[in-house]
Amino acid sequence: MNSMAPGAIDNGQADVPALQPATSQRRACFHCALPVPAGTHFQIRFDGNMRALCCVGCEAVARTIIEAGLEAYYRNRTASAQVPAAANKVDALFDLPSVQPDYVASPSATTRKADLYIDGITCAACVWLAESALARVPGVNSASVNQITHRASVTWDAGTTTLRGLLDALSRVGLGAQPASASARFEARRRLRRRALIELGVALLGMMQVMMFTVPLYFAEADDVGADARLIMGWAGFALTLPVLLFSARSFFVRAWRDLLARRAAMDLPIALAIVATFATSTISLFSGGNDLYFDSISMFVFLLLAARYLESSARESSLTFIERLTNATPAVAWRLGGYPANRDVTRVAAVELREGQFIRVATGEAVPADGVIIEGESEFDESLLTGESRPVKRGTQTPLAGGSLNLGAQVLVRVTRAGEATTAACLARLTEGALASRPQLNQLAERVARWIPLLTIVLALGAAVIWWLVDPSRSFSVAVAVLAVTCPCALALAAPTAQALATIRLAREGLLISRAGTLDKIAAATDIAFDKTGTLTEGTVSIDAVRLLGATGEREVLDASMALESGCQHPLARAFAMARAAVDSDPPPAAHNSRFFAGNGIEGVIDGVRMRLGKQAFVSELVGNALPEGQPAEPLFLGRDGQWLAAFSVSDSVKPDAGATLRALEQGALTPHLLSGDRNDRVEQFGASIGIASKNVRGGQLPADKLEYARELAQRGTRWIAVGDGVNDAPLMAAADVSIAMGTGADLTRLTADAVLLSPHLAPLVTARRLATRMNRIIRQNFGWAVAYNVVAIPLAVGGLISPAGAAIGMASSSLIVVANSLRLARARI
Amino acid sequence: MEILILLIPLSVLVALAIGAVFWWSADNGQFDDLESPGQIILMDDDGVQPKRDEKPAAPPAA
Repeated sequence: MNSMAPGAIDNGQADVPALQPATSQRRACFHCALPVPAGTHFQIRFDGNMRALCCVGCEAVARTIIEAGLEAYYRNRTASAQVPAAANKVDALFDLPSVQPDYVASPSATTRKADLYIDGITCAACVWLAESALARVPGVNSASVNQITHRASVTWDAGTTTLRGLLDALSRVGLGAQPASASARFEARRRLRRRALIELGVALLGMMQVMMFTVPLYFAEADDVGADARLIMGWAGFALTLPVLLFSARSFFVRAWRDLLARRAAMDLPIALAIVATFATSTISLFSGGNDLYFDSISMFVFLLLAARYLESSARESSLTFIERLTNATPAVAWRLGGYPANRDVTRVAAVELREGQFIRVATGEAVPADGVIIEGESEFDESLLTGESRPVKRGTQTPLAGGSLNLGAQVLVRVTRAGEATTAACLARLTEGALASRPQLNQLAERVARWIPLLTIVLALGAAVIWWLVDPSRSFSVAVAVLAVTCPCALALAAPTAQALATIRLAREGLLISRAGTLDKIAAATDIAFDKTGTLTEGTVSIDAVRLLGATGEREVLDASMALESGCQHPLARAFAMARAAVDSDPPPAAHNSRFFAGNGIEGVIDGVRMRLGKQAFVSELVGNALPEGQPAEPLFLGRDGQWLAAFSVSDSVKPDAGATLRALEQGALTPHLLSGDRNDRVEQFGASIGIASKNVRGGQLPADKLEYARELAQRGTRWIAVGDGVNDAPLMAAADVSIAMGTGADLTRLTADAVLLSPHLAPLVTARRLATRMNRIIRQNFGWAVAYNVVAIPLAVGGLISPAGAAIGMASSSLIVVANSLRLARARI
Repeated sequence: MEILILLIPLSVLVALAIGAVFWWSADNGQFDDLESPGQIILMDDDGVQPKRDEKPAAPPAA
């Protein structure tokens, strides 16, 4: 039997078609920039030249765009398009009355309004293309697309077009779209965000104008400005501070009041007190003709504080958008094959009604509504949202499929394994949400300290007021205000969370999902990293290269038995057997009873009343009872029954293309790689050498207990280490590690116990994680350093009367702004 | 410096007007996406106004 490995995509390297313009030597598709396969002649005329395209889908899309007069898209885009679905057909189901209320709002009797999520927006040109495509649909009143949230907001005339018409128009220009459920949460967030922006803008405007009135007074000689002008400038400052105080600073007062009612002192209390006190002094001084006007410092204080909070909430916003896209990834409706395999009639059902074991049809261009296994057909899927992998992934029969991935190729039939809240996309959304909500220890400590600071501040301010009353009663009040204003617990409380949220989301986008708080800290602190081999450093798409029969039983029966034994198992071998068997037999396999999995050894089960074992030679030999016949070469996998050897299998697995580079990069970052595998020793050593792991750190033939022993050795040497594995065979090892990273391919995320999941098919996110975690820790340390140093220096100065209330306010507000701005560097840092 | 008595109240009014305009524009979502509109203006969008009818796709230009 020959290799069963699924065929690779044909990246034809033949000659460029003759029509390709001489100026463009790249054999990349004009639309999506993927390689153009040899022997195909899809092309389009653009700017007088013929351009080659890779497939009929791209050709159709490019033709629609150009013939619709939207060529500007190709001139102005800064990133190539995604592969369009070959024959995009939007389902009529979005026009069903039962589905509509979820997505479509009716502002009036004849107009309809809906938000759409648009996939494939890569640059501003795509935004323009989407808006133009929507605007051209008859009946559309307005359409606007947001590049950041990938949301389109459309209103249309109910009598002229339908939701489906809009989705059709988008799919004709190669943009997949889905109605976003009319989420009240999203709408509320949009309103909050706009309100925050207005508050910030009003504070900024107030600050600039008030400074214009007050700064001249600081420098003016007594007779430069007349008393009238002086008075009117004071009044103008007062007038423009009022909106800042009443509108922009309102949230501080509201929160401070709420904290007072709850009898706790939080950060907003000293802030509110400082604002009120400063405003009161200035107003009294204005009415009594004095010169203590601090209106400018009030508005500056409020502005700087709001700016820090706005930046922080922007950082959080990006993570919420990511979570929202995940929750919207699975479509609301599915096509179920009720009578399969007897008949192939499909019925439309809500995706939440799907149950495990049911069969569904996923047509071209549709998103997969639930997790499942392909039972018929082969296609390419866009899993970028789930794994961070931008290229389409080929999936054939018996391969698992994650809900939320987009079918780009042919129609497939899928057996549902997980639906609704249990799908991969829903789990990812929950895990990310959970990881962002939970706070690591360091944070909790900082927050506890930060909680006490406000109370301490108030006590300190009162103390300072009393002492200064004895020394110089005229300065007592301003010193107290300065102490109130100068203390900055915000910097301490904001030091870590912003940086952590940014790093977590950035990693999730690249395909490494952190599921537990504090994991990044530990990744940064680790010294060693231990890998499993199969499915971790190798592709895990094991194939059965050859079957050697050792007894009288035929190949078909041997494969039947092996598949039956493996059928309940997540191991990559199960799929390999299913594929090997599919080549010789298509009947359902016999069932195995009492199957038991011996980690690191193999599987035992009873088939048709006969006890059989599949696994390592020693393990199978125990059941067989006699030694392997002389002259048989050692193979990794045997099948045997009581008293009889049945077959030997040779299996192969290819190493991940970026394994070597990843290990080298990790080593450069001071992480020593180890390799622990249950595979035969000589093969593991050879493999370890080929990807550059030092032979003293390579262990083959490891049973779970051996791996645990190795882990103990590592721990005794004082190393802190990361375990990377598939989470099935090496669960004990992963539990023993300081940080465990599970491979996400096909794993059941609902039962996830690892600290992080690598969803990307590549290993590179591990390197990103290490670098980003190190960087994050550095930034958090800087933030804490700054926050502590600032407070330690500034508070005594304020108590000593060396800082004016105005200076204190500016110092405190800038301090929290500095901390947030420092954290924001993580979002853009080149790793 | 007498003119200040006129100019300063005037500047307060102007500031309030600017604030009102800013409020209106932020409330209308003018600041929701600061990235794409600036680039979209550069595109040749002749004839992208909503049209009443759309021609079916013509035969291949090639």
